[in-house]
Amino acid sequence: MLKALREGRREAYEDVIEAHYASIYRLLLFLTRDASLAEDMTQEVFASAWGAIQGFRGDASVKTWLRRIAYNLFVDAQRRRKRDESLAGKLGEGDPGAAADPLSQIMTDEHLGRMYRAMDDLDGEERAVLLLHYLDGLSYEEMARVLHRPSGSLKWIVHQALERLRTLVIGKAES
Amino acid sequence: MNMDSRNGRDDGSLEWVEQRLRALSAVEPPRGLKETLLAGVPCRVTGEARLGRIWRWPMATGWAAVAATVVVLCGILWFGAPTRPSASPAPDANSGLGWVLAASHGSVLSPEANALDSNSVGWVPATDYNGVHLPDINALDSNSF
Repeated sequence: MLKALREGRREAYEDVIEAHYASIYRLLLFLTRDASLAEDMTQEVFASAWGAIQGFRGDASVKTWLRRIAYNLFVDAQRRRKRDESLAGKLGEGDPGAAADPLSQIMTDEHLGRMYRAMDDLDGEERAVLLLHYLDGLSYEEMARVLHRPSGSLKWIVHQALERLRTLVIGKAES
Repeated sequence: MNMDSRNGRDDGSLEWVEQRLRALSAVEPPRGLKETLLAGVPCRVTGEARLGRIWRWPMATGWAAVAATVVVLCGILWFGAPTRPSASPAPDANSGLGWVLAASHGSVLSPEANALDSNSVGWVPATDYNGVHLPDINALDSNSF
């Protein structure tokens, strides 16, 4: 696969897109909380990947590599947001109810909608570990490659984030 | 806490939260996204492929250079190395006493240059490539008999 990608074979690129675009989009959607931004960033992830494919050594899987690019783009966008207040409404502060179709799918489910809103109160890394582990099904070792964290500490972070999310969901239900 | 859901009782446990997190994967990406990504492939892949060809070019050029070198060396071995006219004096066919310098077809020197050699013992009219005599230049030589 990697050889075919490096040789620039179109079928290989199509296979990668087919296998990963939806999960990359979902990851960015729940990280950014903005459907159109997630769409733009998904395109950016693949564009970055194609641009860097010659330098990709293949130490990690393409799956892990793409998520690492996505997460790095999200972190960069967060940093830009802090510098540029004009982006403040774009990241993490979007109105879920006003979002595009993809989010409306879950907003029709009361409990998923509550879960989604509760995730607003998690920080970026907490959201990322939960999404990578439960949404994408990444192992702790794979997550360590994506997030540049030891897998041992990621277990603890996942547990803490999950506990915090549970508390937030209960709080949303009671309020 | 007791939250009913379509999938059974929701008790707010960690398992329930995990289950709900996994359910978020039901979200589908927008329809046009995949097509947009696929449409982005050709130009990017073409660009990479073009880059790849650029990297393959030196190898092809290298082989061509090796082949050209071999051909040139074979030619030199077969026909002999080109020599300067002054390096190989040839006996003048018209005179046993004099010498003229053989004018090689590969030489850049004109026959007139040979004719001005003052160290020559004797002179015969040198000819150019077209067989035209050059008597005037020979006449300048003081040693000529």
